Amino acid sequence: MKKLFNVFLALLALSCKDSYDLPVNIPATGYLVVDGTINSGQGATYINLSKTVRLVDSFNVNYVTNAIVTVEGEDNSKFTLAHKSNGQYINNQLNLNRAIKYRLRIRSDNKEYLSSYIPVKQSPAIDSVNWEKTDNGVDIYVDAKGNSNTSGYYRWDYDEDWEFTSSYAPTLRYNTTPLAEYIYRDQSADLTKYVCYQAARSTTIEILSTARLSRDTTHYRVTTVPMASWKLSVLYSILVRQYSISKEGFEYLSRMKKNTEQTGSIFDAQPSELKGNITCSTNPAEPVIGFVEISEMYSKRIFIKNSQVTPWGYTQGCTLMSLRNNPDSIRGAGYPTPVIPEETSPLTGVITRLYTTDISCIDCTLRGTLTKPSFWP
Amino acid sequence: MTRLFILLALSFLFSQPSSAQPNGLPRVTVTIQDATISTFVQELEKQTKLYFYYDKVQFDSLRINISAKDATLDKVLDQAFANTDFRYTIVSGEAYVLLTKGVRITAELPGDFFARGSKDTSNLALPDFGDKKIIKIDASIENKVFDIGIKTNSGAGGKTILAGYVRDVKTGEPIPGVSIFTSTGSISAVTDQYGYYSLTLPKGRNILNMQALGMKDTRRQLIMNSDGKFDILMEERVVSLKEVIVSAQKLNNIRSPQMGMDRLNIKTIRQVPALFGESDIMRVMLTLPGVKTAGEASTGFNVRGGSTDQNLILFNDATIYNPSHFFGFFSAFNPDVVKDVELYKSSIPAKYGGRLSSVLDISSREGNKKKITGSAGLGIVTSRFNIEGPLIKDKTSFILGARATYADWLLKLLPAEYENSKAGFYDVNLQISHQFNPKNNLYISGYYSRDKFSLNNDTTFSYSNRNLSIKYKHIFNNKWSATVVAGYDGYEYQIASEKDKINAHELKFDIQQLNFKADFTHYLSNHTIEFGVSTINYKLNPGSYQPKSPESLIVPDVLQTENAEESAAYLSDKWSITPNLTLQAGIRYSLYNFLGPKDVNSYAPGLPKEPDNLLETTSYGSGKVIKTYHGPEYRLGLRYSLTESFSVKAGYNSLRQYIHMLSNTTSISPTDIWKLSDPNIRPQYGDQFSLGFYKNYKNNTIETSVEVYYKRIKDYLDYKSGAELIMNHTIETDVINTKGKAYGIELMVKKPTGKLNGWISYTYSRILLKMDDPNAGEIINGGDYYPANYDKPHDLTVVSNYRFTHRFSISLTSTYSTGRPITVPIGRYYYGGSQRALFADRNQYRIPDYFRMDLSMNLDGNHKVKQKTHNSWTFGIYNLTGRRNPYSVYFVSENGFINGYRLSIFGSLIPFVNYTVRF
Repeated sequence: MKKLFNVFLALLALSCKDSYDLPVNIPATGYLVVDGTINSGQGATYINLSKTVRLVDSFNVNYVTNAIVTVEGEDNSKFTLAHKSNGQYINNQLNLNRAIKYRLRIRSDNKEYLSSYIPVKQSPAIDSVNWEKTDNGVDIYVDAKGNSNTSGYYRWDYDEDWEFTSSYAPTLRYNTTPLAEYIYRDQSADLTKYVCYQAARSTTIEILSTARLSRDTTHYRVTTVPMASWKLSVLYSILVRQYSISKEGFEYLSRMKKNTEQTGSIFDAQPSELKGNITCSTNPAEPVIGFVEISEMYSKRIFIKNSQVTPWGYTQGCTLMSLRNNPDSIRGAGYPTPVIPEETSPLTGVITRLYTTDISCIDCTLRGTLTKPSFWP
Repeated sequence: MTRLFILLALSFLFSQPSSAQPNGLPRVTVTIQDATISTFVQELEKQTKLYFYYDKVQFDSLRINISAKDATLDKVLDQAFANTDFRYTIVSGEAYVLLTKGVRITAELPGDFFARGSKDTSNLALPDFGDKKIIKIDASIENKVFDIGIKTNSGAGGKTILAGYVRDVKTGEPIPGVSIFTSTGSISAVTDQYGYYSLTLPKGRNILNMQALGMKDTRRQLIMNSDGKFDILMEERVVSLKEVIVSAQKLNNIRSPQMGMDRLNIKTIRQVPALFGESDIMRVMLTLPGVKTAGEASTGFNVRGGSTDQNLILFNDATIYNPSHFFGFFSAFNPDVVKDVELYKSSIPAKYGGRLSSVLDISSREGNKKKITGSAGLGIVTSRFNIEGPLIKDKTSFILGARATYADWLLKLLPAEYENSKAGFYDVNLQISHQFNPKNNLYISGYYSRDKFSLNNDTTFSYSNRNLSIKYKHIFNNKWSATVVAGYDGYEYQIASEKDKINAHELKFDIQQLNFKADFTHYLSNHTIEFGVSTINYKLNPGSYQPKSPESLIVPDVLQTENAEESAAYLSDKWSITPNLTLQAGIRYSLYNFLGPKDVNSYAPGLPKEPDNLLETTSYGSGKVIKTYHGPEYRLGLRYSLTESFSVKAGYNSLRQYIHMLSNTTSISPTDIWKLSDPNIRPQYGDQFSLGFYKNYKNNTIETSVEVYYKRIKDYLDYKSGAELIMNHTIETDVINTKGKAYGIELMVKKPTGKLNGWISYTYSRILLKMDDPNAGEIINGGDYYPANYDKPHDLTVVSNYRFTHRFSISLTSTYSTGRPITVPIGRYYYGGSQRALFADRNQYRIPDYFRMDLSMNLDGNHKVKQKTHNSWTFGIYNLTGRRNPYSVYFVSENGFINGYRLSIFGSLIPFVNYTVRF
């Protein structure tokens, strides 16, 4: 619908989009935000706590670091989550009873927040994480099959990791003693800042309902690696985590998604209020953001090599600049990063011309880290 | 005729006074009722073998009632002409009889007798004798004195009722909205949509003045003897082709007890600059005070704080559910077939009901009754064609209009990836009107429209309106008339997606209704009484969701059909208590039955309607009454004229609405569905108080008005946050009943005539909703009043037209309004790996104000009557200042930041040109 309308407008070449500045008289908020799922299966449970900030505030996240976070069962069992860093509270392994309900209790700044009692949801395992190359890049799919015990509502998030290299491995460097402006030749290429790693977390809410399908079967595209992206320039890995959520949780998240990821065309609904399953018991009027679910968490990791997706078309956009090897030229060019010799005097073996480039083309640490992830092959 | 007068003149030589007739006259037996002279004479000629000579015209007002058995001819004639000034002379030797008026044929006959008798014969407009061939009204007709009714000897004093049609002399089409008033102004009437009027006049001499939109003012002099029929022909005012004539009722706005009613005729509509140059009824409506829209790409409109579904849109008595084409860029009504538009926004006549805010009554023309004519128009995106003419001359006429788009050339401009896309619409109107005789008329009207879009053969979206109505109007006599209408109205839409085989599906919605209504009007001396009954049978298919390919995994899902019947009876009286004080009082009683077959959910009492609180589902059989709602609706209007040009009006009305549109977008969107009231969704109820002051200046050439209103709405449907409206089996769990209140003041200054004409309207209005019942589910904004999505307090519109010559005029329209409310982010938070917006309470902030100015130039070809075709051009610019009026403001999290954007639908000037040829 929306697409149709946009095309229609494009047809008429009439519509336009301008940026909009918010009104100035906006109040401060500071409501609690609870982000995370209680893992009833194998593995750790992470709950992230923060507070809402004003749009104009300079900092991104206002972490809540002093809270006491517990998971309480109807049978009075209690599990504590400890603060690790940046508002993240962890319990390495909860042992929850599927037959009873649990709730989350948070104490912070003399206020108490309680979720409703939440049933423990079963989740199907991930059948496979697979991918398909299209004109737009590589689509990553997750497949699963639910059963009569599962809710039919899914949520996924994922971690991406990838290996990449600098454009060049230099064999030259500036001679620091005695004269800074002469180039000397290292016999072997410098690979210390050649191979690096980078990671990213999912930033969108990926949810799916199979309620309208005759079978609880999913073939869901969790993300797309865009064509020619640096993520797949060497080796790419994605870890997809899957949770089962409740119908209410699904509705909550789809509303949040609509409010924050999808609004803006003519036929979109107005932003709607979010009311999760957590309330502030000391001040019931205070809004709390988040919908806590208890679900088994399943995850699966796959790797994709650049060679599997060629032609990929990634370039960092680096070029080599030819330079005469003398102090004046080097100073005049602003000390560019030396890469490899261009011309060497056949008599003296002295480099007369060299190729130089920008530092980011030989130092991958500017875009990533040298630390290889533990699971990397 | 000449021969007759020679004979008459000759006959004087032989004439003797009738009283002196010798015996031996033929005897006749005659029994006739309410007969004309020709019937009477035919009968006598047959029995007596005598020839009768008389001037038909003189006897046109005579009706004869006689019952005589074997009486002599003179006795019969004496009896027939008793109490009248008709006389007779029996010339038995010559075997003929002369019938005369005023004086018996003697030597003292007045000298001007024949001259008077022969004058104006060609101009007579009385139905039984009127000459239909005239094409121009002679000024002398205004000086002729018409005798109406049977002259009786009851003497002076008493009241008589005059009724008849007002028609266009050229096309024979009736003219609605003609204001007819006596020279003192104390007695007046307005013709209805069939051009019919009825007036109560004192006996004796009366002068009637007629005024109408774009017609030459005219008058008639009458001597009322008893009740009579009198048709009036009016002539188009050619010189005013390009004049803005907004109101027919130069005096009517002062005199009518109706308030909050606007009438626009198609000529006015044509002059207002329109997008793509296509005259648009809905857009012109929006320039009137109290009528607003959420934005540019929407033809849904809001009247005095009502939502878009609270307007009853009638096109020749058929209900139109989706009044727009192309996402609202065009209105569903073809300007070439529309005659006029009436909008009732405060005192809604008792004969209308079923919607809370307004009635928009659009009527199409009946078609030329004299000759085949037509027109064709070319615009940038659409073209139009219409043809009209008589099927049987002066009896049956038709008008056929069609429009279609040719947007394909636009699609060619798109990148190749869209080459399979299609977008377009068409609509067809047909109306046939037939006059059996002056007392019996039949009208058949049909409308069909279809919109279709498809994107790369992927998703196809289409919707369609279809309407058929048959209307029969019968006039019993001057005091009684009746109209009976039966009709079918339908609306449907489909969305189909076939690209992805697994997911291929088709979603459908449709609503159909069968209507019947009978309206009666009874004219009494100081009262006009209207009453009638109506019933609507609804059949609504809320949705079906079906797989569209064999591989599709979509589970077929069909929502149960809803059936209901809405019936009403009404009675209203317009009572002229004194010439200055008029009361219009009406009551309407509506009865609504929700019918089976249907499975109905019931929820635990006192708890929110949520799936968790579902108690049980009851199945009802076919035709079973599941739930009944009923209640009275009151309509009151009072007008008091303080002076000739100043009046005060007050009104109160209440209405009930049993069908609701479900939409959580701001404007009408093609995917909106309708819902009938059922045990879980109560009907909406609204009432309104209004008060208005009307003052005309400068000999009624400047009209001013101030109207204030206060309105309450109960059980107005709003939605829970994130409501899912499509294919929802328990829709009642996603809607909430809110209370609403609306109030405002509307000011208008109108100059309908002159070289410079137009109007200025200003409205201050609010519409606030409130949801504070915790049992109904979620409370919005803490239970406080919050502005509705279309609450736009200030609104100023200036429509102006300057006529340089009769062939060239320029129109300029400007409109300003407060931006509509939005819900804005007041903060942000980090969730799910991204920064997200935290939204404030519902509708607490506003988008920037709206301003737009449009210009159009109308250029007519020459006005020679004799040429085969008449051409006209319209050039113009929409959004002259190029202002980027935001339609919506929205916020997106992009790369972890929240950015606000405003979307403008028309970001620049849009020039347009339109060519029309009439033949």
